Amino acid sequence: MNTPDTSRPTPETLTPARTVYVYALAFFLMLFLDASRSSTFMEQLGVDFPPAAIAGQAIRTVATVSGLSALSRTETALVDRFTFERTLGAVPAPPSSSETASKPTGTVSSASLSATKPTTNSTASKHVPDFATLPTFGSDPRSDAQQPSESTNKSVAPDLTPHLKEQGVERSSPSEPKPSVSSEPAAKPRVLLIGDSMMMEGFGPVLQRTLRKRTDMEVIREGRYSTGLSRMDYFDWPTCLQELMVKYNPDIVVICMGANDPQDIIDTNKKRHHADSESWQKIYQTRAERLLEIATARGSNVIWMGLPIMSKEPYATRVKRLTRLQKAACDQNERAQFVDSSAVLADNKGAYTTFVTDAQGKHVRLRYKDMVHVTEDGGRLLTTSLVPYIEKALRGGRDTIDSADADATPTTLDTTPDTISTASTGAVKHSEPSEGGLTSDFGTIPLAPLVQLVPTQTAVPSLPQQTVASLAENDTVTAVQERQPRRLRVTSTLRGKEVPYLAYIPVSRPTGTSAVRNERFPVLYLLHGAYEDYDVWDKRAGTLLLELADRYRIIIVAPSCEAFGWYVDSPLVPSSRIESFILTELMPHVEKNLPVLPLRGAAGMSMGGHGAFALGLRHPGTFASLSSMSGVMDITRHPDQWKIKTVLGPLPANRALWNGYSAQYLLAVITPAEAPAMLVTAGANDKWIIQENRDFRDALRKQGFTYQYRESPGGHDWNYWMSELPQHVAFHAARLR
Amino acid sequence: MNFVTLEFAVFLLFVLALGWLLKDRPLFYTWFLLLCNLVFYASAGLFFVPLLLTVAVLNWGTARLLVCSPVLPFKRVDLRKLLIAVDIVLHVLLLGFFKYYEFIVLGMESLANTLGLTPGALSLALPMTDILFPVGLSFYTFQGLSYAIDQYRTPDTAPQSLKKVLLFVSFFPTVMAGPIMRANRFLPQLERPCCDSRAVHEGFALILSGLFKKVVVASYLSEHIVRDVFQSPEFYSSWTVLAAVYGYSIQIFCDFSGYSDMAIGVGRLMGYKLPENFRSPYLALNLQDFWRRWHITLSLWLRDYLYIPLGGSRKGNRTLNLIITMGLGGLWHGSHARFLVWGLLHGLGLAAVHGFQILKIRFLPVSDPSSDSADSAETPLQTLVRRLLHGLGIGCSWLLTFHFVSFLWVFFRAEDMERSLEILRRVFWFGQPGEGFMLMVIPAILVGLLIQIGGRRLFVAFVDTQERLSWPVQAVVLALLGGMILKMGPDGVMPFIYFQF
Repeated sequence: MNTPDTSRPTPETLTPARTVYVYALAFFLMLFLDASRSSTFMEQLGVDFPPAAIAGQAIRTVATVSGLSALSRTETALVDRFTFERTLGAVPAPPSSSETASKPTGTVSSASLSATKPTTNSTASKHVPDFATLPTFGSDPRSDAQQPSESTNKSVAPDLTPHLKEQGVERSSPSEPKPSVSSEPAAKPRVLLIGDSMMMEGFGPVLQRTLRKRTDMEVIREGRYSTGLSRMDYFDWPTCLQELMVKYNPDIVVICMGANDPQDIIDTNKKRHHADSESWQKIYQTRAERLLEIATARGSNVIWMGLPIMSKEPYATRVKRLTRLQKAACDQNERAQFVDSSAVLADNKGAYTTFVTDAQGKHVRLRYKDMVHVTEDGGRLLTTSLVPYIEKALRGGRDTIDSADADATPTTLDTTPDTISTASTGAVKHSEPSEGGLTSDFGTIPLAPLVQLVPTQTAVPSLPQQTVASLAENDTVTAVQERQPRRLRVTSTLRGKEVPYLAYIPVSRPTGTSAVRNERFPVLYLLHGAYEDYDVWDKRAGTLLLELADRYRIIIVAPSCEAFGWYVDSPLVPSSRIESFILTELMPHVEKNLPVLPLRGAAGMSMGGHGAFALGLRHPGTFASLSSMSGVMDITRHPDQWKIKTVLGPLPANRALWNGYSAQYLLAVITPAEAPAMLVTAGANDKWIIQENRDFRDALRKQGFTYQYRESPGGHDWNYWMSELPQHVAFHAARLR
Repeated sequence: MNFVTLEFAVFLLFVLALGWLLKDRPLFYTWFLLLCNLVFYASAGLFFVPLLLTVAVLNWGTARLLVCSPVLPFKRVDLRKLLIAVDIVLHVLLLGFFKYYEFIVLGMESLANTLGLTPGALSLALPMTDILFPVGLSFYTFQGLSYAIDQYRTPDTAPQSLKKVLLFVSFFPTVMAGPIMRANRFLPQLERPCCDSRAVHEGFALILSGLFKKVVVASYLSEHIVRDVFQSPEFYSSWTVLAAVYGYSIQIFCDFSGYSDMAIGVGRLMGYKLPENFRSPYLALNLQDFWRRWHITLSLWLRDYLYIPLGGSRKGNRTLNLIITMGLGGLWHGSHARFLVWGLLHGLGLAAVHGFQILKIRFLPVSDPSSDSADSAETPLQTLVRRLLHGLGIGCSWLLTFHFVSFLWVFFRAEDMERSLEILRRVFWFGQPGEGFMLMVIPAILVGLLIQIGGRRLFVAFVDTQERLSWPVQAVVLALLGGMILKMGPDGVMPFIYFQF
């Protein structure tokens, strides 16, 4: 240190040199204190400049080793502690207004929430802040099927509060489309608006304001500045949306994003995809599809508002391109409707314009000076073009889920496919006006109501055999009358008891011809997890399963197979012969008593995932399709867990037996030619089984099987399974024909 | 480059480190500083750097010509007047073109409409263009003008070199949003930056305080109440709207004074003392007092270069002068009628305060303090009553001033008159139904008010403590507090990286 003075300054004095030192030291300390963010940032930079990645790694390491990250966590905890969320100052409208309807529901829901609390074993889960990590196979064997449902409820409870800031008036936020929570007759349909700065400025506020003035819906707006789908490292929309879906359970989701997306994507392998490259487009569309899957997984409808026309190049071209990708993604999802708004703010020639001239000849500014964002006037135009779509979606309702739950009042569906075009402003373009519908081998089948809701959409490729179907005969389609699964029993000599099972049967169409009345369906065997029984499906996903059965014209059978049966023929427990039971007793019973086709699929979650694959791979030809959600793909990795050894005996002594039931080992005894169609999905945060699922995928790939594997944010819990279930049923429906 | 970004933190690290290395070579140092300024300004948009240079060159040239004008064969005084007038007009045109063009054209169109004319010809004559607004233009034109006008007023001072004028106009801590400096205060510091240890301590503390105000208080209030309520007031209950009105008062104070704190703090780290911009404005007991505490550098600028030339309180109509000054001051904030309304209302308020003071002097002559002490017959009860009344008077004037200012902010913030009136309706016809607000808003507002009461003391105490610690410990304390503040900021979105096109 070269201090100019002859006398050395005391350590407290800040000389210019020390100013630099103090600043630099404080700067780097803060960088380490915020290591999680800064190292991610550096690693991003590292894609182009490798030393940055090393620096990012170094920051992370130093922060962990030095204990700074622990300090940082303490700081975070301290800050969280002083953040409380309560609303006050809400004044309900006079009783004559319809708005008061929401008030009592709030008290009901909070009462029901507090009522569930004492009944649960209030152990560690109380302190778990996020709901993604609650295992189904808890360490407590006493816990029955009830346990996961309630712990999920409880952990969602803290999430109920934040939205009050939006709503002001208390009201419930059902976490699942379960009858017990979501069947408030007075609840208005809820519209969730999400997006980037477009949703925050100009368009979003005007849209929210316009919709809030109406009494027939509730509106929630959750925009995030500077976000999109290109920079998942910066903000992860899919995860955020998943949380929002749980928090608000909206009926309609309106998405408007992409203004920040014309930039390079850096994928998980730290590879850069240039914004104009082919691979970029592929990734972008996949991400958009993923977002739509999440948005529609709970039966909500999605309206994706495309971006308006842009001015500057190459930005404008890129926006146009990603708008096309967004539309393509929407076309893949039958619950999504894309609204092309590029013409709304354009001039007469279809080019970008900042100003338009109003009726009086005055200039009106539509765009901000950045030539990207819209002003309130521009937002008004966009809103006008969008509202008809929302109205249309509202009239359709949320598929059949809610109408069935609320009150079995038959909903007459609006089936005139072209009302949107006439209602909307002429500037709005549509996707090709081909009518949606599908036929299968069993004759012409109308799509589930939802598709009439988005009539201008092209048919969905993921469904079996689409052709243009006549919509005329849907005029009198009414809501599904029968809203319960059939509960059947099969007398099992193998297990020495009457075994119950559930059958979700598609509703017969009221105006059916005789061919349709004798309609037969493929059957999907849905296998439950450990610590659970068959009725968990009904409790957690009953309405969803009914609806899926309707939509995909498939019978879903959920048998009771012991909480720790593991879908094996146990040499130790005489009554635990689940494998033979399913193959020789259940399946004949189903095929005798239900209108089924000889097309079988098997699906399951957790232990059930193992079951589906064990049965399917041990008996090739029995099932045409297999799928597993968070499945235990290799039981030999869990010698002392989840009571597997009670049915198969200790692992070392019974290695061959264990291997014979392990999906991982079974891959060696089956050839790709004789293997059924396979879908394996797992939650990325599922610490129980994620590794073996990845290994299973690697084995599949190595041995040349055809398969689908998907990993997405989520844990070993019903939030994840609820979001996955529709896609699994769709997978089987597409293969079983 | 926003101050609350990682980019700026890195930029400042380089500026400080290299500045320290070059410190002993003044020539290099000034060139280096100039380069930093230009880099900083260019980061907001390369396109506008020429504009910054234009402002500097105009004022430097004017000042030069003002000094050498005797050689010209005209009568000296008139030429000087002409020169400065040209300079001012050019600046006004510059501002008018970049900032007010659209406002003027749209205003003329509306006017033509109300007069029943077709604005077609007008819009042909004045085509609408997309003019991007150069960041900080309002600030650095004022800064530059003040230099030329000062040169005009004090002809005997030596004019500065172009490099120095450019350095002054483009000084990076102040170029975006003030404080508006004066050349005669800043330029002498360029010769020898002060090496006062305490000043640097204060600089660090100022940056922290600015961060806290901006990242924690202002952004919380904006996110959780202000933006939503001002966007659509009709959905919120009277309580919420009232809270939003107070919330915005606090938000704009914390936002702007936070920014100023950071600018001043950065200046201190580099060894320069920048003028104070806020002095607990919401403690003001009357409107005049408020303007002496709020955005001080702008108020002083308006006083010195607009109000006094108009005639001030001596010549002409003082009330009119005030209203004109405040109206133009309002319009300076942005090219929208609402800023004009806001400024004019403040002008009216100031005029009313002046009028009240005149009346007060006439009807309530200040009692002679000596007679007060002589009158020892005052019983303790009387003393108590007098003090109570005094306290009550202070309380009332504070309440009145704070509310006047707060409610005028409504016009400043609400995007159109319809919404301003809706907000006022909801507050004055209390008990309107609607949605509530987050409880946390109240502590946030209180913190914003308490900053003004106890902030100064806390600040001094903090600096005193820091002065007793050795420098590595100081850095640790700063980092811990800084990290904490950033954590308290809006979650989910990183306060650092901020990408935009």
